[in-house]
Amino acid sequence: MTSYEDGKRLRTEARFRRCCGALLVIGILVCVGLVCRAGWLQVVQGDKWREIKIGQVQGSFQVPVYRGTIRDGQGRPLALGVQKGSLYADGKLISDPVGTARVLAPVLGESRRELEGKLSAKKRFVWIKRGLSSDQLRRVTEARLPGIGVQMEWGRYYPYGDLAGQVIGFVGVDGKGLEGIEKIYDGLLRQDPRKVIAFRDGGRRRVWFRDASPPVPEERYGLRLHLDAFLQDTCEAALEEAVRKHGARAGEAVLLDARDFRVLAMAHYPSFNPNAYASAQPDQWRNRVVADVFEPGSVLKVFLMAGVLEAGVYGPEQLIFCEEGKMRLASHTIHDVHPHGWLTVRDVLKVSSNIGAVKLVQALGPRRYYDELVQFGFGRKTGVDLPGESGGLLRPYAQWRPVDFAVASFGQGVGVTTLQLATAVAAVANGGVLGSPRVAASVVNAENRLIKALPPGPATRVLSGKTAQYLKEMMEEVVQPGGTGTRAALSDYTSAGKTGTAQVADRSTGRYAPDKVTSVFVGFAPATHPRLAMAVVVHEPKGEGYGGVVAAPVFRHVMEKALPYLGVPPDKEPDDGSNRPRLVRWEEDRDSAGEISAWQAESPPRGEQQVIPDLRGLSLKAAVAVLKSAGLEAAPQGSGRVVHQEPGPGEQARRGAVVAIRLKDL
Amino acid sequence: MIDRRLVENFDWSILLLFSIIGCLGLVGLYSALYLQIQVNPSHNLFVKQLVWFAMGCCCLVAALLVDYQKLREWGPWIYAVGVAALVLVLFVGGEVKGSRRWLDLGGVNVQPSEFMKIALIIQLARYFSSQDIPPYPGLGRLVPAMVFAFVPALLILLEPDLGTSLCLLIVAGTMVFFIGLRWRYLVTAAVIGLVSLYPIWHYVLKDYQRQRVLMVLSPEKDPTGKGYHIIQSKVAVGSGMLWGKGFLNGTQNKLKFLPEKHTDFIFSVWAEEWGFLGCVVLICLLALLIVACIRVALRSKDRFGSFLVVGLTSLITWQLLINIGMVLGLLPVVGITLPFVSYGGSSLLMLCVAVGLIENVSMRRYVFHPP
Repeated sequence: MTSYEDGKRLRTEARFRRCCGALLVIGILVCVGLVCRAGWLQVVQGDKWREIKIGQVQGSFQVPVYRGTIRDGQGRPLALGVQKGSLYADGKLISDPVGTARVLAPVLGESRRELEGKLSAKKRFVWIKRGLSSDQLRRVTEARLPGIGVQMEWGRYYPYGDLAGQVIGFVGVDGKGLEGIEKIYDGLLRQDPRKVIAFRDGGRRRVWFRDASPPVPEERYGLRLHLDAFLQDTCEAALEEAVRKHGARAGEAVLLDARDFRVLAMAHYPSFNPNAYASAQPDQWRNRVVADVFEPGSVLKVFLMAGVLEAGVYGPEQLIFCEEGKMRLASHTIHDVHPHGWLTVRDVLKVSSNIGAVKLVQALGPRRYYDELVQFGFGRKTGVDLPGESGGLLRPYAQWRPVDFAVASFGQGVGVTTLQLATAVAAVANGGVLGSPRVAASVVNAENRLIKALPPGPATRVLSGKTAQYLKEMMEEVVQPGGTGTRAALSDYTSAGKTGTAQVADRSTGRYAPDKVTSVFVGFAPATHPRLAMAVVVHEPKGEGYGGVVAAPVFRHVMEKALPYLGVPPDKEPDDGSNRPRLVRWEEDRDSAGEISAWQAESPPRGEQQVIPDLRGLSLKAAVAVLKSAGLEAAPQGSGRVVHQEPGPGEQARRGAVVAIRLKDL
Repeated sequence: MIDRRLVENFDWSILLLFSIIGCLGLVGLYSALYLQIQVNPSHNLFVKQLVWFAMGCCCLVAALLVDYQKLREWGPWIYAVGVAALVLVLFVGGEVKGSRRWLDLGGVNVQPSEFMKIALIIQLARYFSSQDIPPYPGLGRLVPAMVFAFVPALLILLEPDLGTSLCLLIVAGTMVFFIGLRWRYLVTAAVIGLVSLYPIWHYVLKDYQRQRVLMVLSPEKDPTGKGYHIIQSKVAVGSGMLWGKGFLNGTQNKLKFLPEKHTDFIFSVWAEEWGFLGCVVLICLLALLIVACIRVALRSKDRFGSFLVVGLTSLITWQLLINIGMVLGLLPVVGITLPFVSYGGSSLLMLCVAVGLIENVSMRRYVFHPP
């Protein structure tokens, strides 16, 4: 190498070293700068960024809550909160659309090809199927497919369809109770979701880590009613039969426990199915038992009698001249259906003489009659736990003209609700104490265990026990031969009641329509120790529309099933002399073990003849066990719960007989 | 074939630092790709990166075995292959998010631009170490070097990939700086640069690139749009605080707030989970690696070796400085990855080659070839 080149090389090397040094210094300095910057962000400003992070990562999330179940007195579900899962796909997370479609297709019952198309689309959100059944939902969830998610939506299901539709009501699309029990107990049934802290990801979706799994939807409170599905069904069936048989416009019936004013059944015909409330006429949604006001007719004579006896104006055996069927009052003429001469006060009620009633009310005076009606709850709301209740129409007595209060004695010119009639007659049955009717019994948890009993309504004495006893006996005569309510007589039980046939005011003319009546029956049974009180109203039946003909049979049909069902012992020898055994009652919660032991405890002594137990509502296992313990064989069909049995409950069979039972998924 | 002196002069500190940084990088990457790994434990980017690492180690060994002097002969060919690949990628490259950067080599996607970085460094080292380039060369001697650098830079800009393109120019500039740049050229270049800033801003830069530059100044203006990257990165880093949230506990990462978390923003994942201390450790390790590499450059037996090492070192240095600066919100978001840590097969492979070449120069510093 030449010296020139050596020198050049030396100079180059020196420069090269300087440059290396410069690169080193720059690199180190920038590194130090970066460390400082990191320190600034992480140490000095750390708290600020942490807050920002928490703000964007954490959010409160509401744990979904089922709308509370509504159950009947036996725990049967009348309204269920249901989850309807909808399936969606996140295309970016699906690595194997073909395999995923192969799993999903049979579960969803959809074509595999179509599913593949939806799954292959690399979209972040595609609906696969909405409104899955619970079985589909379970199977999809168990398959644990990546990229397949479930969005829960809420719904309401009424397993008994149109049973007690107007009482239960329904829930609107926004989850708010709009009618009936659903409305008045909305605050209890619609429970506030619990709030929890959840993480959200950059796409604003909720994310759950292993230690904080997504909360399971829960049901905290349900509502148990006094209403009994079996009694309700019985009432509805009897009412429907009466309305159809007589070509009536509509009908209502209320069955109360006469001892404590529990509403055991509240029937409407026509009814509507809350599962499909939107397809029913809004007019049908109304609970007519509490909302509709009508003139009750002669059933009001019961309360006139109460006033007369309580005031001591007349005694039950005193005689009244009934003007041979025709009585002039100012410019009006008052008629009796059958002309009568002298009648005892007792018989005025039994044959339902209007003229006798007018004479009694005149003796009592408008003020005392008015007070008596008010005492029995007319003209004001009963305070039942149902929305839309009407107080009826009872003008102050000072506004009554003589003819007004005369016709009011037999229930014209006074507007009442079916429920008012039922509670008033229950007060008589109850020995003179008027209570406030209640539909809901208690707050229960999801397993139907009692959380809190709802308080009963206020009760007041409206009649002395002695007068009530007189009145009961008088009402008992109404259903006996010669009375107007003979069709309300029961074969195994004593009963009491009063018929009513009211004229209906025509709204367009303001006069009573010549061909329209309201058939009414109020009564209770057994007459000796009243357990059930009932009011039946049938609007505008065709043909012979007397309450004793149209409404009284409804009472009989219902009572003859309801009293045995409730285990009320018969208090009367059957007319035909045959000795019917008493029926089995089921009041306990119907879980299988309880059911079986309840049956065994109440099983009557074994003989050759066996009473067929009521299997309805039982599971197959429980039904078979119950039958076996009664020495009977089961022939089941279907799955789920027993909905029908042949022979029916209470009928007799030889030991070893076969009972056919049909089960259905409720 | 293996000379004893080759082993004696092997720089173990570089290999050690490379291994440590690589392992820490995998830890960070495991975190960043955790969700993917959960969904599919056998087939995910982390597993891919492990494979790339294995291949990278093979490349490293391969780069060791061949005497770097051979590269002086092969330089033009390597460079030509690189440019050809860059041209090819413009026509048949796979398109991702609007840019064509990848070539599909039988199921393996490679980025020619990464290969080009090494090719350019070899070519420039060869050019600057030739006997007829004096220190402080005249403009005539600099023009070929500028052509060498600008041709691939332009091709990469066409993909478009501004980050890599800039990276090439910065590395080339650094190497020019090492041969010596006359003051007037520097001043002239600065003036031209400043003057051309306006037309470049308006006509060359794409809209999204302008936005990115503006966003460094005030990311809060558009927190959900253009400023999202920077803000989320700062949130991740800042919320890591002194000690960090711990391995796999980074919520910004796992809850998908961080974009590009396994590539450009891997450092924020690291900073979130390991805190300020983790940052200091990683930056120190990278700085030590730079120091070790520069030491190799100083000890090299010839100018070609020195320039080769200088080029490769500056490549590593600038990438890490720009990447971390970007993650910490000091520089605009340009697609430059963090060496040895970010996910990226081609990038990792070429970095392994770079480490191999640096070791190569180190090993052979006393090996003289008969003329």
